[in-house]
Amino acid sequence: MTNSPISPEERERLEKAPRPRHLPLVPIAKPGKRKLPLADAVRPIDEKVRPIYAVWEITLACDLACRHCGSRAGKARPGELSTEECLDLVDQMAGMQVKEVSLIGGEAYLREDWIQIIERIAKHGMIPLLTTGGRGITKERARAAKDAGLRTASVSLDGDRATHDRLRGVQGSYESALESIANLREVGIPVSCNTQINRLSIPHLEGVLETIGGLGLHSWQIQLTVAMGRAADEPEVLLQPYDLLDLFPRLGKLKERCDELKVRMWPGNNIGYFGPYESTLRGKMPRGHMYSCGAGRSTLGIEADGAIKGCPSLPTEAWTGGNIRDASLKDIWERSAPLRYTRDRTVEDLHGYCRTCYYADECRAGCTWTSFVLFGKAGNNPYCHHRALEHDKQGLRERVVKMEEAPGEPFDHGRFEIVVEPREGAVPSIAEGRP
Amino acid sequence: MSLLAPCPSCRRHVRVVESACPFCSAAIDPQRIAPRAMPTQRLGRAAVAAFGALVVTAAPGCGTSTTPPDAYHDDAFYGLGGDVYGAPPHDAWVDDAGHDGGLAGAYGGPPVDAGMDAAGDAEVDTGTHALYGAPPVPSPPPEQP
Repeated sequence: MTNSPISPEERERLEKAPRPRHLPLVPIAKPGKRKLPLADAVRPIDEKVRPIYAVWEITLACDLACRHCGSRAGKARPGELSTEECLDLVDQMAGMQVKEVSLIGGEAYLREDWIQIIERIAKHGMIPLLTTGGRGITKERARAAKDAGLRTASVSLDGDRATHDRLRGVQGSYESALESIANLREVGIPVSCNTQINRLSIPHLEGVLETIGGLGLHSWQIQLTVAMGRAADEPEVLLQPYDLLDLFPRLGKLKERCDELKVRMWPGNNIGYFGPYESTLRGKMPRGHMYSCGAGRSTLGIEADGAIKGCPSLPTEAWTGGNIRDASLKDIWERSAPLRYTRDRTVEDLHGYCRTCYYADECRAGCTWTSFVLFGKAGNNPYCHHRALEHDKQGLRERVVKMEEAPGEPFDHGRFEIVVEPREGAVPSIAEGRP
Repeated sequence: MSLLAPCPSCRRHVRVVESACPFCSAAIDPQRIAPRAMPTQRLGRAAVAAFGALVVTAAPGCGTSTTPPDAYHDDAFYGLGGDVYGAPPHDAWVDDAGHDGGLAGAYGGPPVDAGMDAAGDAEVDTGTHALYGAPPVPSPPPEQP
């Protein structure tokens, strides 16, 4: 197969590899920390930044079993917010002048009150959105969501049928996703698509885009699969940093094809950074390029039990600023240290290559989540096209090596190290050997 | 805060004060890589993208504007600065369902003079897109002023 960083034999092995069995498939989330400290004083910067975009896991219950799922979703969290608490939180978001609220899970529709939540979001003039694996968007659910005011839905497509089903962990999930897309479109909900990029999906990107274009979807969100949760259990599926050298020229061509198909490419914020394709991919953003991590500056993440984070992807333990049952959303946003992180971060907080990078002041190591789950510390992100190019110029490449397993809890992560080595030679996977 | 624009030769972003590209060594004409204009109020994601598209369309060359460097400030994203950066009039830009704020600031937001942050150079920008969650419904680009 072309466009693959791994051999056909390795691909076949990975496609057929059974799910790791040494950890529970759907662990029950531990109760999050409560009564977390808040700063006494609110600074002008904390009042000035306001969440524009909230991403809300309204339940951790899920009807898929994705093998890359960072939250190891499946079972609802103990103590998920009640309907009344959810609606109050919506009111608080409106008070904070949030503009858009994306409902995620798990699967949002597995909460019986998901339609009520959408209605309340819309009633406030905020934009309700849905991200779904699309296993169970029936016509009835789609109609109810439309009537409630859902503005758009993003359905995951991760390759062709076989690769999608393998990554999503459920046979038939590809067909279900296509059926969900059809049901959403039938009731008039605009649909976009999101795609994980990893060593299994990467050969299929062109095919996914043609499918999207053929279905008339409005946008294509792409993101690298990140080493969190179940994805950390199968690191050989993850890209290596040097795989970006081949990926980005393809993304450039895919962007051209997106324009032809009138599909808007929407690169997630771990697609970066500052290589020669930055203008191609983000030229229509106001700066014409990425600008670091928006967690706690423009983005708000909410877990189903009321834990508040700056970004939904960040690990619960280290990045929860407070719980909505203990403090108001405004107080947690303005006065908690984890949500203040990117407001206060400077170049001095970076480490490794990113500390001395030409773009350090603008980029600040890009996606906080991607770097934190690799090293247990934000501020050094090897998944960077510029960085891969600069290493390549010196005849080097960076390889990420797994050193410790993830413990097997929702939003957990392992520990990885970077090996810098000559670029020639075999193409080992992340799972192969210590340095 | 450095200001970046793509090198006309290799397309890698360079600081606008560079006289030569640090990546391809091409000489850089500062007139060709002036920094971009920025929106002056809080925008939803679709509106941000639409604004950027307008900037690209309206720019005199190389995806740039003629906005002087000292007019460019992070706080502009959250400000109430009117059209000092060449932004469309307030009511010129509403998305297909009339919900998105565009530059009209329909959702409000702290004005730029609500209090300069004590941190001085702390970022007040939207960052890039969240990985989770859905892309917004596209907004039509605002009309050019």
